[in-house]
Amino acid sequence: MIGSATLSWPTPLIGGRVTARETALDQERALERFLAGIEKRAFRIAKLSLRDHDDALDVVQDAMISLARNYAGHPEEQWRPLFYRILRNRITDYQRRRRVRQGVIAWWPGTANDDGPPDPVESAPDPSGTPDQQLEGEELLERIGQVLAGLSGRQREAFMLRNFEGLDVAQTAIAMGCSEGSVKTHYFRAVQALQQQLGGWQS
Amino acid sequence: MTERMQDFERRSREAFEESVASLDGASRSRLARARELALVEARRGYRPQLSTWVPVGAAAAAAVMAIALWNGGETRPESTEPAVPAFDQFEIVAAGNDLDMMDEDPAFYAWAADELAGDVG
Repeated sequence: MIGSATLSWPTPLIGGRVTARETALDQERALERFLAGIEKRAFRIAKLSLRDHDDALDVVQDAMISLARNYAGHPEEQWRPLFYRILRNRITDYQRRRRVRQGVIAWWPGTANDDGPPDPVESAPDPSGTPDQQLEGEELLERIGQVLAGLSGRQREAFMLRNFEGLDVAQTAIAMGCSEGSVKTHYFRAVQALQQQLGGWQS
Repeated sequence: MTERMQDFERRSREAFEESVASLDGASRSRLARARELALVEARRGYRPQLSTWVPVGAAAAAAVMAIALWNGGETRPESTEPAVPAFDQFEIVAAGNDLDMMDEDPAFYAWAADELAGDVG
């Protein structure tokens, strides 16, 4: 379990009494709204960190299930930082596992380049959205992602949580498991590094 | 924060928002499925009382059954009423109609009894 939040839930009173079932339904609806609002952003953040579409989907799913299993009863305002903390842990796990796997693959003879030719269906352009807009967004984000990959993990997290997800300093500190002062330092350095490296992109 | 840095923040945020808005259908569908799985998980957690009481109830039911079976195997205390074989009890119940007929025509049954006595004698 993460954090030290107390197990309490706002119980709406209807005529002075409310059944456990009604409370559970309210809670479920609130959780569904929260997850629906956060899932796409979480996926983008995970993809920027992992640089892999399927792995990003997997970690977001894991984080959603873990939040629902362990923290659904927590106050709603705690869900966001808790969710991002879970997501961050999952991303770290995936990155660690990937490093181990790549180490094994590099060591094992004849397996370094066994992926074969690219799947034409997977590499086909997606028909959704306006192609120009999507390309621009994807391209810009791709360039940011490349530079983010070169930053330290803490700087990358601070930048994504603060700038992309819009968490405040306190929430980012909970999500990253560090002090608010550290968040400010990491964030400032991240913005500085990104701005220097992507200076040409801005014009 | 310098003005250039703030401008960079804004533009990178816009790029991120754009990429979120243009997420492809397959990924959106997969995320919706993941959300459903999470809600199923949450529903399990909403019923702690039920999940706690189910094993308790099952144990109580098993105990009641065990006691009932245990008592059923024991011999009952002897009744103060005279023992009547089960077959005789059945005959008495089955002969209920005959007893009614005796009420209706006692003279006939008295004659029939005399006749039988005469045959035997």
